[in-house]
Amino acid sequence: MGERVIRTADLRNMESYLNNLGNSVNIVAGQIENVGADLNNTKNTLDQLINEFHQFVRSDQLQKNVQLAETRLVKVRQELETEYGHYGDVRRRVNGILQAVDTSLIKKETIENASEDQMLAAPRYWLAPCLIALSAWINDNKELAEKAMNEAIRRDNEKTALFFALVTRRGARYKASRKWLENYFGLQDPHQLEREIVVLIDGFTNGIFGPDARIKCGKKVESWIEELSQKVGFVEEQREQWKVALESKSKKVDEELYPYLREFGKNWGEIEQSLEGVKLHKIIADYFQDVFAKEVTPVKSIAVAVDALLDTLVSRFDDEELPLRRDERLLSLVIQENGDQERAEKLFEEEKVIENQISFTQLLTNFSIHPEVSNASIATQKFSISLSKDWIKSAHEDLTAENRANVPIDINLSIDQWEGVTQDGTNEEELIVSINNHVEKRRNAALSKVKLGVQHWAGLIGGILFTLTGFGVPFLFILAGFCYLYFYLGRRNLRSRKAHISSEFDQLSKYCTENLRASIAEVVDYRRDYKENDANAQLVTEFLDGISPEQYTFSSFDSARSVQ
Amino acid sequence: MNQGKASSPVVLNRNKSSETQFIEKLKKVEEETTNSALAIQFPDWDLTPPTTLLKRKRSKLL
Repeated sequence: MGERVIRTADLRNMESYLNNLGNSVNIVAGQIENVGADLNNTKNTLDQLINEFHQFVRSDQLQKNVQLAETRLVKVRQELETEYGHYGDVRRRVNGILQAVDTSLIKKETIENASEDQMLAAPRYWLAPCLIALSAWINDNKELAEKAMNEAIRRDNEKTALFFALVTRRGARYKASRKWLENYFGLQDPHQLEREIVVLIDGFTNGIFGPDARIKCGKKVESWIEELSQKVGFVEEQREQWKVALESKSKKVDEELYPYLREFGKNWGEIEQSLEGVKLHKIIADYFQDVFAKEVTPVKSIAVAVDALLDTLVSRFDDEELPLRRDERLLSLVIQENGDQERAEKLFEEEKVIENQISFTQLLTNFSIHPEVSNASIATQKFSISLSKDWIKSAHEDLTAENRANVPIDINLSIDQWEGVTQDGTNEEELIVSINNHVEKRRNAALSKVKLGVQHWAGLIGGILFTLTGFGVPFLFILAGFCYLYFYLGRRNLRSRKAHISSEFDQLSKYCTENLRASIAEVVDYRRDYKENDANAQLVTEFLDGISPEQYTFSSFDSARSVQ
Repeated sequence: MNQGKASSPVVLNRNKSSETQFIEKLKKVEEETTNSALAIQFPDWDLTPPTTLLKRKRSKLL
């Protein structure tokens, strides 16, 4: 093997090549890094471009939405103007008459409006003939007024009746107002009443439609009850509804009452429930009497609320034009929201008035029992109670019967580990004996367990043995002494323990006896309390029997008294 | 509440003064909530509904 000599020059060359290679690699790495950076920049630019593109598309879409909405809005408004343009005109003219405060203005408005042509211009709109009727009336043209009135009734009898009821009220024509209101109520379907009926009921019960309306319209409302009563199960439904309503007035028994029965009565829950139920009679009787004792005072706010119904009735769009009006509103919102269709639709939904049809009988219950929630006036409360009195009476009778059936016959007492039963506390002495026997038994059992231990006896035996054997070994006498002492101390300790145990049981006996007597006293109180409160059931029945439908119309309830 | 029966009852109605007060207060409310300009325009006769009651028509009012 020969040595291979690598010349220095070769290594230097190799080194040089390697260095060059390294440099080249570095250059390439640098270039790669640059490419990487460029790539990131390109990506960022691309992302930006994509975002801008999306924004552009969105913006373009929004602009298109706005343009489309604007175009459609023009069309809708043209259609509204063509089909219903005169409706707005009619509304303006009616408002012109109703809101004018100057007689000359009214006269001017009515002269312009007293033309049958108006009816032809709006052949289906109920307010158009109403406008003519109103104008003709003011212009003393009876024939035209009645003709237009009949046409208005033909087109929409409900709205016409309400319109004239409110207009005549505003014009202080109470006799006419009452007749129109009666007519309006007569047209109502008690199964489908609108929420606005609340304002009208509040209005007539408070005399806002004149004193006569309170009785006459009341009769119409009574006829709703009769109609509703025809439905199968209706009366039972009302009774259940009223049971819930009456029970809602129930109050918890005062926590300071019956402390012993609370602690020692095993069935305190039943006792408490029966007390709550029986005390309800007075609460209910007081509540109804209080309502009827209050004066009915006419309140301006009720009249204002009734009057506001007229403005709403006149200003609202007619059913026919509603679809186009809704389109108009939605398109306007799209423009307002700069083309954001979604946002516009959301706002549109929020603006929609929720159509609320109400159960008439639930309305009466709320008026009667929850006036703070229903904002019912005193007059309306009285009215509602008088209409509902048969159901209230029936529900109350049910509650009374249920309460009486659930009164616990036996009162179960549990004091310490003793249990006993009483019904009315007359077996008090028997129970005292029982509890004392119980304590004695426990005492004896406890005392019997206290005995001298084996060690003590061993001590005694030891002492005896040491004594006997001590004669030979005197020292053993000392041991015997210790044994006897031990035994003696044991016995003394035993006596002490027994005395202590006995003393404890004496205290227990005293505790049990005292608590038993107190519990029995409360049982007697409970029975008496129940009996006294149960008699109040009659108060409710008598009061409800005494209400006549007319009495709610008086400003203060006070039945006519017969004096011999 | 005492609704005892009597052979020849004399009815005492103690509501009269309360009712009078009510009417007076009602008149005040009426003055404040009616349109007097409109009221004096109406002629002597009233525009009242026809006596025959027409069938119910269900339509949303307000």
